Amino acid sequence: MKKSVLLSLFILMSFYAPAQNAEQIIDTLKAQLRKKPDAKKTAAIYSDLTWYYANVSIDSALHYGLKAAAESKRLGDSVLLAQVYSDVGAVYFRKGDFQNARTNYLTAYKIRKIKKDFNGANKANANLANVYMNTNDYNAAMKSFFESLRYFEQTNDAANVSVTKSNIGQLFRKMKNYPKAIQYLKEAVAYAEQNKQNDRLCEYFLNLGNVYKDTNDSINAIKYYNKSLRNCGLSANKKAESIVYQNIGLLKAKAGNDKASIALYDKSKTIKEQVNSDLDKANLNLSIARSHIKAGEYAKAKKLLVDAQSFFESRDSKDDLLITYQLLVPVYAHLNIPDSVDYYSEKYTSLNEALTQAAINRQTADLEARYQTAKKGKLLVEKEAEAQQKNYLLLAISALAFFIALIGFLIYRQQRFKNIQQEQEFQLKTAIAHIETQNQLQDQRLSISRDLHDNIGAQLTFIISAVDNIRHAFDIGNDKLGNKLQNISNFTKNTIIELRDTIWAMNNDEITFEDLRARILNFIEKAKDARDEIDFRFTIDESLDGTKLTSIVGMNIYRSVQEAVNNAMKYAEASEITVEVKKIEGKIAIYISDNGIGFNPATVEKGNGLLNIEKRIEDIGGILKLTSEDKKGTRISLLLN
Amino acid sequence: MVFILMSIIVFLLCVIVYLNVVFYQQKEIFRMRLQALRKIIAEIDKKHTDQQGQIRLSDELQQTLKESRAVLSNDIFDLNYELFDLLSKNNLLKK
Repeated sequence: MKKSVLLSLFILMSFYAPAQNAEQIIDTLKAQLRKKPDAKKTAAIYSDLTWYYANVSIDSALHYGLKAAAESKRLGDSVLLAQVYSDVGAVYFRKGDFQNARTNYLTAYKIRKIKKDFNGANKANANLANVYMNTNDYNAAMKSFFESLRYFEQTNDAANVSVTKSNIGQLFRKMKNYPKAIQYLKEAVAYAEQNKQNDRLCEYFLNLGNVYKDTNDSINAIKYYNKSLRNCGLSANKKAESIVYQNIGLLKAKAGNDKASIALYDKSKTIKEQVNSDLDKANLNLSIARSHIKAGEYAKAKKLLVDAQSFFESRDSKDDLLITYQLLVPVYAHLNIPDSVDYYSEKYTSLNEALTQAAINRQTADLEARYQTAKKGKLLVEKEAEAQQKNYLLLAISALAFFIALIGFLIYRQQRFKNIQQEQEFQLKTAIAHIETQNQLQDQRLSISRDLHDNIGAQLTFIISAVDNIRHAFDIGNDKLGNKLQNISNFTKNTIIELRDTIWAMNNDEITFEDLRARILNFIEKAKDARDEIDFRFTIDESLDGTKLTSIVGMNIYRSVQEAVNNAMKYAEASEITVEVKKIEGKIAIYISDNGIGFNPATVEKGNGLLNIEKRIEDIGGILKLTSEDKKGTRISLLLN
Repeated sequence: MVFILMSIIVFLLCVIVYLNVVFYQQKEIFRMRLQALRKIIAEIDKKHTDQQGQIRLSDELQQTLKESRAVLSNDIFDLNYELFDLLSKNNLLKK
């Protein structure tokens, strides 16, 4: 009883009207058509009629399908055209023409994919899965069903999830995985009951009844068939109704109730005539023939089987043909036609072998495909690993190149720094050498000067000695001559003092304030000797004792003090001359003051002595300040940093 | 291959670190040497300035001596003139 139940697969719908049955909807649509709507509306009505006629009359459905396709093409409405192809595919599917069903579904799928109508494309994919299932390509069917289910679940399309689950349940039934089949079908039933979808419930209960029938649970099978009949009646699904009657008939026949079984077959046949589903009719003939064989009516059975044989041969429906041949063998045996028995036995054997071989080939191909897939997978993994290895290598080489470049840069930087160092060092050393050379030259010059000054000193001393000898050795009665000799002696002595002072300064790299004090003191003592009527006072701040001065600074201070005191002695007519050296806020302040006649600095022109002092103080970076007033004396202030 | 490259990279990293350390050491040494050289320059420059001061003093003295020589020459000439005048008046000059 391999092929006792007809196919009852249910296509996804684009629209649904649960409150009305198919015949009522068809009447409504035809009434709309009579009102002559515009071209677009007409095309849509043709498409709807195609769909609703699919369960009432296949010929009418195909008639309206062709009209809908022609109208859609004329309008250039690809969306509607895809829907029409899908509906026509559903009609062919119900008719049992899977080749045409597949062609129409594929066209609808392609159009929807181009239009990026993913929802429609997934519905077409699910419909194609139904075709794969009925052509025994279970792997492709399962793959397509689950792809669609995943999409509908992601988009929360509960209605299509329910339909797809029903189809998956049907596929599990075909694969004889009955628990899974019941699970998926019951999930679909729950949704349809909740939403009162009579049309869907008609099909789902039929499929559930089929599962229970396959598991020999006749009670549950009859229970769900009856539920299916009630819902098929409400939704006017004649095709499903005829299948339900046929299947109940089969159960009755199995139970030995042949009369009831024949009556149910007749009912089914009457409805099938209306629906005009050739495949269903041929399958029904097989069931009736089976009953005739059981009743010993072999001639009637032979007639039905021969009709079914020619139909199955025209459709190349091998599974159905195998059952037909199997049934024809006992029929011809009982009719006592041995040649035909041999002929159909041979046909049965060869077809059975061919089907077995095809199944083996399919399995082998499947295995090979799996092997090839695994091999490709392995190759892919190897290639990926190789690519990753190459990436790592590339990365490492890049890093290497970067580090080498960095090292190159560091070495270059180091070398450049070395060159700059050498250049700077060379410049500094050159400067040092240059200054040292100049110093040596100056040293030599100073040495020559010292020798020269020593000679001059000796010569001056000789002149003084000679002049003094003449003065003391001879009695020079001539006053004029005596004065001349005295002048020469005094001038030479002054020159030699100046020479000694300069030599003193030149022979010392540094002059301390103690040295300077001693010199100034010595000079003041001599001044006292020369002008004893003048009271000389000299004070120096002791905190300046440690202060060191360069020879030029020391000498200029000394000469300035000397010049200022000499000026006071010569012109001030002073009775008191004071020299004070102090330290004020880190600076050296020297005051030379007298209580003489004074002068008005604004009117009196500065003499050489004062100008010399000014120049000397400016040379050593000091400031000179002169304050004087008639009859109130003069004060010279020297301020040094 | 990758292992060898990684080893080379690690080695190069060490070289980079070494080069950097050497670079900064050299920089420090150079800084110290420059400091020492600058100190020397400052010292000899001071000496140079001092010597220049001494030379100026010498030059000034030279000028003073030049002036003194002129004065002294005039004085001695006047003295000789007076002396010869006196000798001539007393007929004491050799004939």
